[in-house]
Amino acid sequence: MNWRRKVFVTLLSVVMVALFVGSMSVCAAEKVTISFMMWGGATEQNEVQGYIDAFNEIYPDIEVQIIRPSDYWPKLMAMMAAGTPPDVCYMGFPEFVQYHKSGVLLDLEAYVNYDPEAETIGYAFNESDFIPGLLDAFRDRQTGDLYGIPKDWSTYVLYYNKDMFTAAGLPTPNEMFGNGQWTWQNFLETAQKLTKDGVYGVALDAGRWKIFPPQNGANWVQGPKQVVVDTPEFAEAIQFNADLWLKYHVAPDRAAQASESPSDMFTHQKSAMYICGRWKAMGYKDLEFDWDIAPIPYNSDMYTWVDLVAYCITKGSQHPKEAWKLVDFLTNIEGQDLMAAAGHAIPVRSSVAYSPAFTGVLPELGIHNAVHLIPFYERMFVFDHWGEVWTAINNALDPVWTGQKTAVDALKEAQAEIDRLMSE
Amino acid sequence: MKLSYRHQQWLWGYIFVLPVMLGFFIFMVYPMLHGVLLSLYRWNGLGPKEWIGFGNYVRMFHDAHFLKAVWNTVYYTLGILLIGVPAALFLAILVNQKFLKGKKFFRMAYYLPVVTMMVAVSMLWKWLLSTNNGLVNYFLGFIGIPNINWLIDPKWAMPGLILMSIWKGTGFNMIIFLAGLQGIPKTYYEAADIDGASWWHKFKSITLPLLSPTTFFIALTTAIHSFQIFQQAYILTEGGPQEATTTVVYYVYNNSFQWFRMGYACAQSVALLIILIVATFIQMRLQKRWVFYA
Repeated sequence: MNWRRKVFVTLLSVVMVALFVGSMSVCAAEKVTISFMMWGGATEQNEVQGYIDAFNEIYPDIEVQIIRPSDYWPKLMAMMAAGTPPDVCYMGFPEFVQYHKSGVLLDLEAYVNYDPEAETIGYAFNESDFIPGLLDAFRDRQTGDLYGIPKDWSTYVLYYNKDMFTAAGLPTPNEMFGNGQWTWQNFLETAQKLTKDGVYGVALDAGRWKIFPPQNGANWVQGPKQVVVDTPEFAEAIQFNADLWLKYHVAPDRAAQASESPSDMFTHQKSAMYICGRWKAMGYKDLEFDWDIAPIPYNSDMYTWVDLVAYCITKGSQHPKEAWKLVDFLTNIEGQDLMAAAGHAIPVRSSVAYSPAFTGVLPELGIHNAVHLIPFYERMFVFDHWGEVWTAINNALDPVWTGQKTAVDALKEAQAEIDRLMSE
Repeated sequence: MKLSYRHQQWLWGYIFVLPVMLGFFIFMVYPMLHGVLLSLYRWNGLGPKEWIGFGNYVRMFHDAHFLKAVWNTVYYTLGILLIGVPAALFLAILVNQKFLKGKKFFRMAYYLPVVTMMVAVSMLWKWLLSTNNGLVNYFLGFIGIPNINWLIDPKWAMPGLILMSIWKGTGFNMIIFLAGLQGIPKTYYEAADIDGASWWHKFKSITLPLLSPTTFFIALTTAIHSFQIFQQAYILTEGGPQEATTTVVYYVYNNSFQWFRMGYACAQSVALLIILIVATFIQMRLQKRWVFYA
């Protein structure tokens, strides 16, 4: 080739490369990737991917990368310590206290008030739409600013085998509750009538004792540093729980619980009732018998345990605006509708929770989803040294479940340990 | 600059060793030193650090939970050393017999648990040790022993853990003992046969002394390894009924990732290191008494 040709070809290649690189960087500037850290199994990840696909229909330029570690909290702590935290992460209401105190979460109050996405997703943030009490669990104790937006919540309910109740000629727990006849005494008698032929009246896992003390009037958390467990009401409640298998034999004891999980006992029709949270409901979709959910019994007070998780944006996030867009979508009407249809947990907005999107889940079974929404039934409390206090109480209660100690004695030890922890 | 031949050899030596040493220093020594440094602070893993000097160590001595964890770990290690190591020796002798058919099959069969994942083994043993449905209680029933609440009774949880760990880890020690056994010259046994020695005599006077370097190695590595157990405690019993199976490393895990006491957890890890150094030192000293190097 002569030199003119060489110059032309060189210029042409340079222009092509420049255009290519230029277009690449323009694309890169438009597309933002944010990381989303979650816990759960493969099913949950698939569902979350579905929500993200719906999110991407409105925001095609925000790519969301899911991180689902096998051990969530160590991984989150490690990422934060390394300075590469995820943009959005799950946060339980107890863990929130420590994380917020350490200053690693982003203040969302500005986003909530300004709400730049109102037009894009069609709904304003509307704090008052949230079920009362859920937002407060994620507010700063002094300023009242929001640091996390609830994603869903769950209460403990009673799953029961409708066929067994009909066969025994008993009214259903829902009916009994409606008649004001679902106290501990009624509950115990019902369980006794249903315990026969190798079938237990009720099954519950070891950690579910936490529903009973407040039902007996034991207000055991009075402040972040005030946890009082050695009261007669608390001891009575624990003893009632243990006596279900120690004295009345209506529930499986610890050895039996280890051999076959209470959930399996319910699904294999070895137990007429089962106390657990909402997350079991969808797994029971295809059971061979008719089942329903009812409120758990009460004594002097009505109470059930609440599990609550929020989305938090980390302070170290490089893309807080995009992260907020994702959080807003997931916690607003459309995201909550999608979540309600999945059925694992209760939506956080009243408008969605009281609509057929949630109350009508599993229509073919006709279960009373609204049981989860009974007001004045749920209270959430937090206290310092959360993990250690629960470990201390559970360790102290262990001999009570096997009948080796009474609740009164065991709780004295638990209280000593709690006092030691709180005095640090 | 022209180096002498000897200096050149040294240089090449260092160059070859450099990649491994680099990795060792960056990924092992530096984190360890950093951990020792962290043990002098109060830190919750997320926020700012607060210098407290030896405060964590003072706290450790008064912490009943930590002392229980150390005791649990010592109990476990003794169980492995006093039952697991002789069991490995016994298996190695069995598998070394001339008359045994299918030796290779048995060697593989005993080694298989060693390479199986601990998680899978733990799930298996959760069932095996089940009070009502477990195989262990089933076989014990044949010799008239009533059901033992393996994983629920604080007295039996650690023995259950020891049982599972022996099942899993003995194959490894067996292979090493086997190598040691096969290194004993047959001439010694033949000489003993000529003198009319019994089986026990041969074992006591030939096998054991000539095996002692191997035994020392196994005792040392098994002790160091046992002191650090975590997975079994985590998966099988989660620290056990009333802390019966809370080992030191499990307690460290709880403190660091569950209870936001990162500095304290680092101090405990340093304490574990010191315990191991002391134990190893004692073993090395005692070696002069009973290890016989032919």
